[in-house]
Amino acid sequence: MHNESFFNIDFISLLKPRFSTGSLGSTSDLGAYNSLSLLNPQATVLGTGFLIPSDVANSNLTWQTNTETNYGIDLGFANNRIRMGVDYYTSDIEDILINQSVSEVFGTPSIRLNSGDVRSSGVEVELSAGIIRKENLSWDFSANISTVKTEITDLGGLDELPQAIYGQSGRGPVFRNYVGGEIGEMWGIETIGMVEDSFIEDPTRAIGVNSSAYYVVDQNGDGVIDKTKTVEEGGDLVKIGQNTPEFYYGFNSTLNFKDFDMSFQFQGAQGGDVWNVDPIYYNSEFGGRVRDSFDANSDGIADHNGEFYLDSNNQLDAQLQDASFLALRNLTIGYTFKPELTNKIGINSARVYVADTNLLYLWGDDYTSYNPEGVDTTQSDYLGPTTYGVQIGSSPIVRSFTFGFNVNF
Amino acid sequence: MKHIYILFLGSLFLTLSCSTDLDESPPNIASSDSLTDFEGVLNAAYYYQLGAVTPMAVMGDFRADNALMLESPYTEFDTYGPGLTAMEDQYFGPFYTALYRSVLSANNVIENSTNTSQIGEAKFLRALSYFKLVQVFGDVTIILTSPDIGDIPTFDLTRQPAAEVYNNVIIPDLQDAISLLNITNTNGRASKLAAQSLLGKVYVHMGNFGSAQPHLADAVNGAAAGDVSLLENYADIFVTDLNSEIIFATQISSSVEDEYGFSDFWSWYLGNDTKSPRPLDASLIAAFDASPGDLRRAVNIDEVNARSPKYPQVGGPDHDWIELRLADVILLYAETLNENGASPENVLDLLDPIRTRAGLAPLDHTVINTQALIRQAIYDERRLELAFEGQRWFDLVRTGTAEAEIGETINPNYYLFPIPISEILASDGVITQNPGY
Repeated sequence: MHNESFFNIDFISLLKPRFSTGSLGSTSDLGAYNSLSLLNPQATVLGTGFLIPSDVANSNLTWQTNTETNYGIDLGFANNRIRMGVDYYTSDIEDILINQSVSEVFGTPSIRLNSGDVRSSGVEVELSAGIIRKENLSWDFSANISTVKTEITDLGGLDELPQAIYGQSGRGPVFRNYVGGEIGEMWGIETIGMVEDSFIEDPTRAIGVNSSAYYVVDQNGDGVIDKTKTVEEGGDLVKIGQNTPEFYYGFNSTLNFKDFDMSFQFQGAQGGDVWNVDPIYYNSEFGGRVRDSFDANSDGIADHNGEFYLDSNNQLDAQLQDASFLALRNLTIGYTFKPELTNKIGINSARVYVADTNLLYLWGDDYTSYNPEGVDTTQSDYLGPTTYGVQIGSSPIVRSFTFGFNVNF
Repeated sequence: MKHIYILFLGSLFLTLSCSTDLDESPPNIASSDSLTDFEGVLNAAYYYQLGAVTPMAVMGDFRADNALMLESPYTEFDTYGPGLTAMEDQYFGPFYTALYRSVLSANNVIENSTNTSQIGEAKFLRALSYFKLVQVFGDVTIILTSPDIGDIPTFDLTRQPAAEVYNNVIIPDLQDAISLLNITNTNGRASKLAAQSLLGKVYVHMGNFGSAQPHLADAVNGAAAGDVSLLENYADIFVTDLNSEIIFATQISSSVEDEYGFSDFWSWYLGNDTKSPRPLDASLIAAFDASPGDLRRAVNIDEVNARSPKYPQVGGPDHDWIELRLADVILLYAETLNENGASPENVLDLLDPIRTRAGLAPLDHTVINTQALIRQAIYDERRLELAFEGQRWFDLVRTGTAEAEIGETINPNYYLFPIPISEILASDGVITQNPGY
């Protein structure tokens, strides 16, 4: 557009609006035989047994269709030394393939269905600048930020998928997926503090033990803590978080000074949560740690202050932690030997460098494990994005250092 | 030359067309609607019972006064409160899943097989599964078909009253099994004798001693015809699988991996699991103290290590889980006769072979001469004879003696176990939780 004759703003050197749209079918993670019900042979004491098929036959399984639409504009200033791109995108997935949990009465924990439509939308902004361009010194810098928001717009006639608890041995949030909500919302019981250590029956039993119980809120005041229904439905579950961050961001820089070069790359995400199972295990929070006198009549109400309480192996918001992070993904510093020096020994060019990953890693104040990006997907009842956001002993972030020497002959 | 190439390429295009549709089922794997022999599906119905074994053992003995859990939250088994839901993943969940899978496999055989003995065995296994479900959960969902995906949204998952499960499923299934099966079993498969014994036991659990009596009489009197008799030595029952005293067992082999991923039943009894290394309950020691000279004592309890050495696992960890054995059936029969007003002599005589085998003198019917005294004598005999066989808790509940025997006030809500919470969520609340949990 900047080349058009009517365009006469000098400091804008590039102006390019963009629009694109397209549809793509995908079968997600569907296996070759998922629309057939195949008997599962298994050795038994009485001979070969044909077990119940792990997926119930569904001849209607089909592709999910993803329609992406993108509106963008590219701008360049000062002879394109500074460039900016702004995009707004929507992504509509129709007939999304979902693992829907069903009662075990049907012999399987979940069935595969094309059962809904999901719309995601967001804004991406990218800014890059060649800040310094001199013979001996050049510095380029770029930054980006993007947001993403997903909304379930249809669930094939249902208002909500069956809720599912995903975690370790029932220690996990209730995942809800309902029309108008996001995918994989985590719901649980609101806590108002941990039961004080002074109520522990035997604090000497193990190191690091806490009371393993939390005071909880009876949202509707009906005198019962109902972990299976939301407040709207007459229970006490409230939304406690979701794993999708509010925004992702990053910045990169490349600096060259004489024979030295340096580059770094930061990456971050802000506003997501993980439901972290780890503290339950390393604080031996297995419930039943408090004295009988704490609740003499076992009615679920602490006698000394009249508050409801639950053991920490329940669906409590106390296990929810901030998954935001900022990582220095990469830092490289190099030195290139002068060609006149290296040519003498028959070498075209030579460069030494040190590179490292995750030298700096910042995470939220309340995060207590070693990798806010680690989300568990390995348990047998994992249903996909609809139950995403639980952390179970994930491997720590790897920090690596590399020393290198490049030689070209 | 050029023309030959063109012809050759052209012929390639012509010959590469398909004559059939590409939608094919993989030929090497069986598809569920192409089966003609349902033996494999029936084997699966047996196999799935494995997943219910350890939960049954822990519920039957650790919930009762035979064994104790030592580490939280396993201790919830001994506290009779709402916290037992924490044990769902290891016990009630796998138990529920395994039994419904057994039911579905049995349904498939009953619906589709034309082989009468296969149908008879499937009916026995379906009744056994529902009987276990009802004992543990009370009201449960009934499913008598093998559903298609199209049936799932409209299927009624509502839990049906336990009485309906007994009257509409368990009892008719066992009656059919009795008429379809042979008296002897082959390779430990379900037999007519097993179906008669189970039907008698079911009626006893319902408190219907009138209906129980003929079936238990058939079983006790017909045992010899089914090659079933009391073993001479009590300890041997728990060493050799499928010995002559076994009427029906869920067969376990170390070479067959089951779907239950936690400690096995015998390792709980042996104190091999760190959650309860010394599981023996003092109450059971006291019960054996009250029966001096009892040869069953050393088989059932090891006081030094506070555990039960009952399943010694000779030759590897694969002792079967005994579901029905003759001594159990004889004791049920004696109890039934007593409740139905038979003379003390007739009732107590039935116990003699069991007591003699245990090294004890027969009970004197001139001393134990009232219905109430005989009832208590039979309850006490059951406890010692059937310790660590997953029976005690369910006997305490059915006889209404749990509070008195355990010596604690127990809210009757906790006679039943919690429905897995995942079931309540997955059914959107149609399947409800038991009160108190």
